[in-house]
Amino acid sequence: MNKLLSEMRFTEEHEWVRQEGSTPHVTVGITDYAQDSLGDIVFVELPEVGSQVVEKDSIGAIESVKAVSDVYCPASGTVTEVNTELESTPEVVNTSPLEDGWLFKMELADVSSLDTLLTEKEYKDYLHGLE
Amino acid sequence: MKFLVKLLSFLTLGPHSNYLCMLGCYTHCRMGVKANIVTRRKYLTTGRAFSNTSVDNIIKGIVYHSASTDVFHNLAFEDWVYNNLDLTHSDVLLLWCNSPCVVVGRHQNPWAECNHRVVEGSKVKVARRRSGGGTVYHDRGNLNCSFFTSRERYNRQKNLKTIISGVKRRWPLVDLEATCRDDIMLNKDFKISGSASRLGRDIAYHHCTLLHSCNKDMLLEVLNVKSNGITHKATASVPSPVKNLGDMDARVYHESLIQTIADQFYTEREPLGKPVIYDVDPSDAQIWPGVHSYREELQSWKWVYGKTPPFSIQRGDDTLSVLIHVSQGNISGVIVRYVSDEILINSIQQLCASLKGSRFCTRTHTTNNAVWRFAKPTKVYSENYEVYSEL
Repeated sequence: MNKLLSEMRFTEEHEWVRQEGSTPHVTVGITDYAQDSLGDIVFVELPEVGSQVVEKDSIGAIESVKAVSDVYCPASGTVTEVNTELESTPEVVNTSPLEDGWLFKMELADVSSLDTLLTEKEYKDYLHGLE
Repeated sequence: MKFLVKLLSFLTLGPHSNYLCMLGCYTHCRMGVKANIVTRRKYLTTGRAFSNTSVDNIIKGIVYHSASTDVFHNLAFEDWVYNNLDLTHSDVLLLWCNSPCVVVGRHQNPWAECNHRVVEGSKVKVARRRSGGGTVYHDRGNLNCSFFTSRERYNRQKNLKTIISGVKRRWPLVDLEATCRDDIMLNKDFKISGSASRLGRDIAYHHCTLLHSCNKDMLLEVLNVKSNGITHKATASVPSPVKNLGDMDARVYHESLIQTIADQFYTEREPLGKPVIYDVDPSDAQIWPGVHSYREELQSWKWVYGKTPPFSIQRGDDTLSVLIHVSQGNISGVIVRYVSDEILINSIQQLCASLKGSRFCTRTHTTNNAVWRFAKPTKVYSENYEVYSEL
């Protein structure tokens, strides 16, 4: 788990981004803080494969028993794959938000955009500020 | 007595905000009707920029009342507020009602949630909202309250308390209580309000219904869905017995209710402008630029039906069954299983091919039955064939 977190970048919208090596291909999901805040997840709405997405745009939604929450795009690029398992088992996002509960994969338009995202420490500091 | 007053204020940003909401209005005042508390209503027409001099930490508020009873106009207006306003220092309460319609939650299956045989050909519209939750029937006896706040101030129980406090202050004998599921119960047994929400990065809204004089017979008929062979993973509604507030006290109706709730809302916030209800025309693209595009999307078949999560529907018996798979509202596959001495594979396949890619609708049920009648054996021989025709 520590190794996973240290490889990731984060957003203030509580999304994580994990880069594959040094390629422009990344995996995106929501953090443990996010899934805990949402409550029991009953539906995950994901972007279409092949769609061009823009940083900070709303590109999907997660419905829990409490509300529908918009999912925001952490960086601009193209969606290459979505986690189709979530169609039948959306609760995986609650139980394994950093691994099996990944949402989608994308190819970044600009790899350097990852540098603007929060590191693990910066995200933890951000969470402390919210308390 | 009419008079025009130029009102310059509206929701703007604090010094560090990125958006500017351009709104002011020429107003038209009139006295509230049959109200113990006189509340002037103002009509929002055109806009102008204005600088809000709000004091830090004091949250301002404004109450809108939609002049439209078109569900798509009203849902589009919710979208407009959600996507355009900065509510760092202000809350917005939107009060609205619709002509008869069924509104399903964002990830629900409209065919599974309402009786389409009743709805089709009637004036009851079918809409899908952006928030989640279950299916509701709307008519003019059902008041909708949408509480827009910053993401940080999002608080459903607080909003329900606003409604309950307002109602109880004016009609003390009405027994209302909010539940942990964010429903409002009348006399502990009857649900008169259900809630749903949408949460964004900086803004959120909680909207809820409030039954005061709804046509309960129509409600039950429209939401009565018999077992129809649908298998799905969409969000399911949780049915509850309902009652109208107006059943408890005939003085509770649309006008008195909106004034009561607005008055309570303004006691909890500093009014942004006057502590009155502002009538708004949600279809006016001059005041709300881009609202038409939201309405177009919300009214489209692609949103209302095409957004439905994948599902299947099956009809059949021991000799013949027809299973239809539906994805994004379109028929993606048909499986026919039948036991017959006659091999009708080609004919069945042709019939199924004509269905694939077409929109699923209630008439497909009829087509489903047509396949059933077409393939039903008319003679029984000693040998039976099991044949599968699949696309």
